[in-house]
Amino acid sequence: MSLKKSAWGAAALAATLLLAACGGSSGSSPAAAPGGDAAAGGTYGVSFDKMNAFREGEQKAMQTAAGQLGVTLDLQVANTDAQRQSSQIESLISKGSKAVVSIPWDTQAVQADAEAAKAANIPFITFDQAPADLSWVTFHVGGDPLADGTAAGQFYCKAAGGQPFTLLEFQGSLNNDNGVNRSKGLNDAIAQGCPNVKIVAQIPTEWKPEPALAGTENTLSKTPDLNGIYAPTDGLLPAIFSALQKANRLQPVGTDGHVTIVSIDGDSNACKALTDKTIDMDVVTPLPQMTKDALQVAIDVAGGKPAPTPNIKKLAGLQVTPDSLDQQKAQVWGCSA
Amino acid sequence: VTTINRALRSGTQVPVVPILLVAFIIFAATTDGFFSAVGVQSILRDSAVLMIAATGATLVFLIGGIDLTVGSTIACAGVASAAAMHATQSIAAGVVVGLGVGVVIGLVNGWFIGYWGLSPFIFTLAMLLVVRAAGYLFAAAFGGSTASSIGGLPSAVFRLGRGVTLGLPNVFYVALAVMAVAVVVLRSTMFGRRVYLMGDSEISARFNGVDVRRVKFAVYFTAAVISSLAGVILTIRVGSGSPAAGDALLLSVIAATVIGGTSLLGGSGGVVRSVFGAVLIAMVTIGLDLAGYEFWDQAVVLGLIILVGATLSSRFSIAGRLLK
Repeated sequence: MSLKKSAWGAAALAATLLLAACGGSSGSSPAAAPGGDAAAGGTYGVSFDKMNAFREGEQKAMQTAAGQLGVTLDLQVANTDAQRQSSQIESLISKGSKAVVSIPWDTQAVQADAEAAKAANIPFITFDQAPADLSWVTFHVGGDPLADGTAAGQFYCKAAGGQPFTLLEFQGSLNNDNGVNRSKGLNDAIAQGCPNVKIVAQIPTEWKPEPALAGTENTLSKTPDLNGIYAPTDGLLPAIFSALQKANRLQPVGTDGHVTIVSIDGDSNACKALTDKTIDMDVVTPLPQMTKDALQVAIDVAGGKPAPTPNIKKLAGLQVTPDSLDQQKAQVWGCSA
Repeated sequence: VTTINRALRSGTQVPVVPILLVAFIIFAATTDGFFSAVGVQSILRDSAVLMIAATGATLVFLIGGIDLTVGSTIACAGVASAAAMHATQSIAAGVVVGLGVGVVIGLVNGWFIGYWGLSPFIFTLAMLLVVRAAGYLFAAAFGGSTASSIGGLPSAVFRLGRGVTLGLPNVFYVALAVMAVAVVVLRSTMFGRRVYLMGDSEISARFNGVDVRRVKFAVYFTAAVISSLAGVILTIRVGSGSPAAGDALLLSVIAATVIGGTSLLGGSGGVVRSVFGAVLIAMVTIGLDLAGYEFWDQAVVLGLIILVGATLSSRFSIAGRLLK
């Protein structure tokens, strides 16, 4: 390649950067909605730790809430990088956000982010993923992972009906509250309520489907008469179904050979699975309420109201089965995704 | 003519600088919040860890080697450093323990690659997994079964990690110091000359009396210690030590080095180039963040920058040699 070609390459790169810099606006969400004047409410910084199907649901719910509350969002995604999240939050603060609403990637590093917001005299709200110490933040609203895991455990106890029952437990990420407590709730409920339910394998997935696929295949080869699978996030369901189908165990609820499945989140995978009757129960996280609560507190405190006490709100999931889906569909956020 | 020649020659020393300037001007002109004190400080602050790690990686690349343990070493040293700071409430203790992790990893890497002659790619790939697991195990042991990040650091960490002195972030000074020392060592010492000689041709170096095994040992040892320093600085920067922190850093370090123009085959390049490569990556990432781009859009732009930057660096390097 000659220097002339390199120069063309440089020019192309400059053009790309120019287009990128000029064209970018996907992170800002005017979120205008009937009755809401977005510009009048000011801009609120939102910092997500990563982006996946569940976070997309949260983003959508947050934008809907912003429209209803008449504010504008400036959304940043840290792509699982604590340093980047800190940098993004510093930028949001320097750009004049009236408050920062964050899902922290690193539950310890968020302390410094919260202190930066405090130094700028703006509220710092976390949602979904709790910080290691709630005293750092203005307010936190999230699901109740312990209650959700407990609900799943109690469901398996009931499904076992006092008979021997083999269960494969997938775990989320064991370095955060949701992963740890969704597992703890399940295990505590089973230990206390139904010792006849035997957890034959516990497989950490880091919320990723690949370990769920391999884990289901391996467990089925060792325990062909497996009775149940626990998925702490709906994102694992397609992988689990794939492995079950391969082993000819993907049967609808109520038929011979069906593997009892309970999952958590309420995303579009869960909606389809409930409709198809391939899972027995989904514990639906109330995303619209969670995101609206987070944003409402941010607006209130930024407007001069005192922060709520206590500064935490836990929202237990809604238990939805194939039989109750029709009545509860409006509350399953994945059904409207 | 002499002035033009001199300008061309200095340009070929750090070929990524024109790209850096163009990118800076474009973002400054088009993106709100970029061309501000906070914006520039964010770029320099986020560059610091990558600059330090890229300095170590450059040493390895200069002898034609590769060190895949960079990210894992950063994470493991960061976790150990955070644990020490948490336990003692002393930053100095955290620095010592973090660097100690680097010393251990460096001794292992250097010994097996330098003196046992194992393939750097295979050995450091194995070490990547072992060191990463060690970081998670340590965090789990410290955190009581959950491999969470370690916080509870002394409050001075936050002032140090986020603070600014004379307009520049504190952590950036550390990166500059590391770079300066590495530049002096590479340009003004026998060791530096041997590194370049080995990168050009290991056989020639051997015929010239260079103890190739010792140089390899020294390079891998130094690179690991520098990576562990990057881990300590990362802990100070974010205020916690996470075993997952290094996962994405390996590719960023390699990208910074390649964009800067250091040859992966050895013998050509330098620390200053890699440092500018690191600043470019941080700058583009922050610029695109501020412009509101999703991370997948950013990945495309960064991919293009690596492609064009590496090509330009390669062309300028050849031109630079012709001008000598």
